Amino acid sequence: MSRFFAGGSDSDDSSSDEDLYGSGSESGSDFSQDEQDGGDDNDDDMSDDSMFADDSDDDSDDDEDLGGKGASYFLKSSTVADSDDEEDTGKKTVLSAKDKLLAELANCSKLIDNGKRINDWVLIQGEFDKLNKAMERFTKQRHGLPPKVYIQCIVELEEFLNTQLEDKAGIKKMNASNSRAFNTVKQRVRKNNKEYEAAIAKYSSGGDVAEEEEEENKEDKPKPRAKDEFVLTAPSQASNEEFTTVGKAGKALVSPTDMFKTLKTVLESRGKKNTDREDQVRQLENLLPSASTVYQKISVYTMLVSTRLDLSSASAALAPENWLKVVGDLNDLLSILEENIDTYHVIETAPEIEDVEKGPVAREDGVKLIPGSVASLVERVDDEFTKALQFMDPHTTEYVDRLRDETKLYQTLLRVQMYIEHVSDEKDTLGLARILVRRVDHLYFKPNNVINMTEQIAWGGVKGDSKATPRPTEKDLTSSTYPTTLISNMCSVLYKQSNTVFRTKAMLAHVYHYALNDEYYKARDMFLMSHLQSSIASAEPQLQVLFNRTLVQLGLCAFRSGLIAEAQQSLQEVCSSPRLKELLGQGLAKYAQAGVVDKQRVLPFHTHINLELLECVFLCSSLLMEIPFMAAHNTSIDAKKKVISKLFRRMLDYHERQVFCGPPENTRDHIMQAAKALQRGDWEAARDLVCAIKIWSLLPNPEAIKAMLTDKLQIEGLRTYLFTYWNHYSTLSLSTLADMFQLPVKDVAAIVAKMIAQEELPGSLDQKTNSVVFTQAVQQTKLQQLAVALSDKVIQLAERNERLVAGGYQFDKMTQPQKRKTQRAR
Amino acid sequence: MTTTRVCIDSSVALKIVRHCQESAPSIVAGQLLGLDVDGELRISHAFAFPQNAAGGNPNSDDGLSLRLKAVAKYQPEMIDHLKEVNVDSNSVGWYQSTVLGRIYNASVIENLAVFQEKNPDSVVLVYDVAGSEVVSDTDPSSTGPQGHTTTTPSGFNLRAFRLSEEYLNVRKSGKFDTATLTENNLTYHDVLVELPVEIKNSNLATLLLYQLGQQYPNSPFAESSFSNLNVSVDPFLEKNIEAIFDSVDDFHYDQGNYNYYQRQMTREQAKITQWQQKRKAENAAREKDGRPALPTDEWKRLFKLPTEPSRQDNLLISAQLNEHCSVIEEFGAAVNSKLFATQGGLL
Repeated sequence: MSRFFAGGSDSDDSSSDEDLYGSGSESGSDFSQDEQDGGDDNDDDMSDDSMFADDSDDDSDDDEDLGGKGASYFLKSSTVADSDDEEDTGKKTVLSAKDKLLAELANCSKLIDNGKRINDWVLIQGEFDKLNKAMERFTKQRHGLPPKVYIQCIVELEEFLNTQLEDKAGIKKMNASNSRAFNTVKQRVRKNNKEYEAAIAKYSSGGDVAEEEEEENKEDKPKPRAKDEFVLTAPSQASNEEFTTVGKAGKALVSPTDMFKTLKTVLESRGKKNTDREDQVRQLENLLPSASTVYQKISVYTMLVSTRLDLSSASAALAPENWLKVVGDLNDLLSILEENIDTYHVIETAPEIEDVEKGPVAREDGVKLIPGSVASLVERVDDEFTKALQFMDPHTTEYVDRLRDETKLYQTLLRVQMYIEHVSDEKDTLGLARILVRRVDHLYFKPNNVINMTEQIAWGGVKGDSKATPRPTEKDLTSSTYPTTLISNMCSVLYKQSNTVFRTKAMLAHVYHYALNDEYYKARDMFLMSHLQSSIASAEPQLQVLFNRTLVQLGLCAFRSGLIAEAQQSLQEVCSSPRLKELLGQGLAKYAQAGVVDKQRVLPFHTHINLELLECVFLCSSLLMEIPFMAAHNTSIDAKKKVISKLFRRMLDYHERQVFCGPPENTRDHIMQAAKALQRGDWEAARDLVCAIKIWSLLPNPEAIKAMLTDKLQIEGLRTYLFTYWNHYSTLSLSTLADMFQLPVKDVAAIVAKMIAQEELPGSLDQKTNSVVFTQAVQQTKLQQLAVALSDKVIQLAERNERLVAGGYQFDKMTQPQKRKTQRAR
Repeated sequence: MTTTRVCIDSSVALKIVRHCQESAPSIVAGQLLGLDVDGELRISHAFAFPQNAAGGNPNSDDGLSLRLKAVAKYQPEMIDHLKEVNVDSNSVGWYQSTVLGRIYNASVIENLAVFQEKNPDSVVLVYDVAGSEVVSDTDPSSTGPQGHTTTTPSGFNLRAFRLSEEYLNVRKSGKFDTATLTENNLTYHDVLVELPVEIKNSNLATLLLYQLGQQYPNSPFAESSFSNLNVSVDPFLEKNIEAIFDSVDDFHYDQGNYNYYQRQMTREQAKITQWQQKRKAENAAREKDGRPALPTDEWKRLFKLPTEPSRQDNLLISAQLNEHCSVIEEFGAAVNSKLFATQGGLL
């Protein structure tokens, strides 16, 4: 049985679902021929932007049917023989189900009447519930207005309730369960009756609300939909004769009417289950050659692109062939649009077209507006591409092959951008921003030469120029400043958007780009000025991931620039987290049940930041910070509490606990052994170990990085040495130190002077002998340290006691002397 | 009438010391048997509880639980056997080892309460392993000519404790809130009452010791001992201070709780006052209109005052702190004079 008939009648929802499978293909093919009601409806649908919005697949099918078109079309078709049979059976079910419900309603109301007579509220409550349930089913199946029986029943019930309420004595006499039921019914009736206020009003004004309707419906068996809101009048003849026009290739050319009909069918079935999308794509492809006017072409292409995109599902990406076809179609569409840029504009804000077949009416300046959004199409194409990459194994050649398609996509983006710039208002930059965000997404993580290359290819295949991002000259494409200018240009448009997502994204991408190009201070200042760190926690996950990526990139940038402390600080939070991968959008939570949404958040592999490099940089920075720090504080009593990087400490502890240390194998081993060497003051060994790490080669200039690290190791080695061993010396010549750490004497003097100035080292510089003179302070014994610590603790305790005496508040002698008296003694 | 003194047979004292010393640092315990005679509790016998049952972790603050199944079975059996060989079979408490006088914990108090319920004369004999170590080379059983000596905190450290009347009263009431404590006049000073401990030798043993001291004037049996000159200060103080650290932390925590309670309390009371004033105003208005006044004590139903946290922990921690401090004080008094002596070359 076709669901279109059953739609109005099925008393059982699940069965209608099953039926769908049977009817899918049939209805699909039938529709192409059997539709014949003209433009009015097509009109609505074409203008409906829902093709770009997410269609909710899960809408109950019953609702859709009641929308009525599908069913009505089918009913009017006289071509398919067996559908007539179905029609009959279908109608029978309609009546029986409806009748059954009506009978049930009547029965319930009768029982309620009985209940009223004997004042049995428990019975009334039960029956009232049943009544409402039946009514619910009734409305669900859309039999129309509430039946008279029902309205009558609830009105009478309310009246009865009101009379009962006045009879206070009667209420008191009721037993417990009865009065409880009475109250429940009272509340429910009031609530319920509000919903049917209109019907009740009608009823009480004397009119027979649904009664006539019912009667009429029953008489109207041949045209059960007559009363439907969406009724379509004047069913025309089957349009078989239209199929006579034959094109050159011998293919049947489709008439414009049929073409739009097909488009409409496709549009309607979008987002529904059980539609054969491939079939629809084929139909649309067949339509292409017969599309003669520009308007038709544009209509077919827009539909084709979005239908093709529908071939993908949430859990699987579009197949590469299909994707390429989509891009091809989209480019064709763009070509058409570009050719006819003076006559046709596809724009989101366009008014609905009056007559779908004739096309839009021209504006005063001769431009015809077609509602639609090229930006949305290209956005979806882009999404599909990202999705495809997400689902692919990044270590295969296919991935690389697929990645090559990015240039095509980028080029299309550029074309769309230029088109939108041309078509849309100066002021309305939203469409432009949407495209620019995509472009920025494709570029921000790439090094300059790659950006230049991408740009070159993209502009190579495109004519025209863009205001937001002017066409680069030959010289531009080889210069290293062009990418920065390009990104700045794009971001400046995005900054003007009112939507914060655009601004945030642009800001982060911009900072990321700067950080990638070693402009640490510029990047940091922008980052800090954006104040994103205060609001990012409430942003959507993708933005948070971008934030983390930017932060990490900033840290890496600081490291490359030799700003160790800054690098450590930036990386600290993200790198110490056990969920590093998740934070950077490069993997999923380990044991969590990853849903489709979570998977979609994972970035495609080629955008990833190398985690091993990240760890290496972080540990190196931590090493350079932590080792001197540890040496400086190892004597104090709360040494354990002062830690710069907990992660590093933990690793170092673990390393120290090992009984036997083999030669270093991985990055971490190298760094830990270097840390031990540095602790001993053996900076050369530390340098060798750190420089032996292979992963430095991933950085743009490994030799410079190694030189920088050596430099830092010398300095920190010197500091560590002084912290660790100063109390064994009374004087220490600067030249000896300079020899030991192979630093110029001047540098050593500077470092030592700084340490003395910061009171890290007790001593003074002797200019005459060029040496450090240490003042050997009297060391505190453990007992003394303990005593000092204890006195601190006791002071705290005393303060707290005072507060306790003051009644839980900070005791303030000046302002609340009276308070003390009022409090009880402890 | 309860006893006011404790008298231990020297052999029992030695047995206790040996048991505690040998199993240090784990905490051990044992049963005391004896009689009360003329207000004096005479402890004539002791036996150790099984180690696995009584062996507490020295680091845990909980002390040990004596009411384990194994002990509950072992104890009466052992007493029965001893009865057969004509030993006093009257339980008068238990002994246990401790480190740095950490006896103020819930389990000790709880056990003692149970013992005292059965026999009001029960005591706990505490042997402080760490306290005794400091001057461990002092002869623990050096006795005066009379054959009696009272023990001192420094050196041989064996002390007897019993729960005070006040504490027992509070305990009976079941509430450890400030009101009850004030009512019963219970402060942290008198949770436990210390009883003087005497060690009694048999006359023959006293005679022997005296004779040995006469015969070998330089032997440990002689009265004078060079160990009194020991001036090692730090280790003992360090340990004590560390112990104080722990107690202070506990105290902080407890105070925090109480602080919180106080804040809640003031808040609730402010609300109640507000409510009462409102009610008063309302009543005044009603009176004017000639309507009956609303009840003014409804707040008892409307508001729920927070319950005061138990003050028992606070009591115990305070007592413990006090204990530590007094140990340090006594130790300091002794050591100070020694240090002055060394400085002035008085010896």
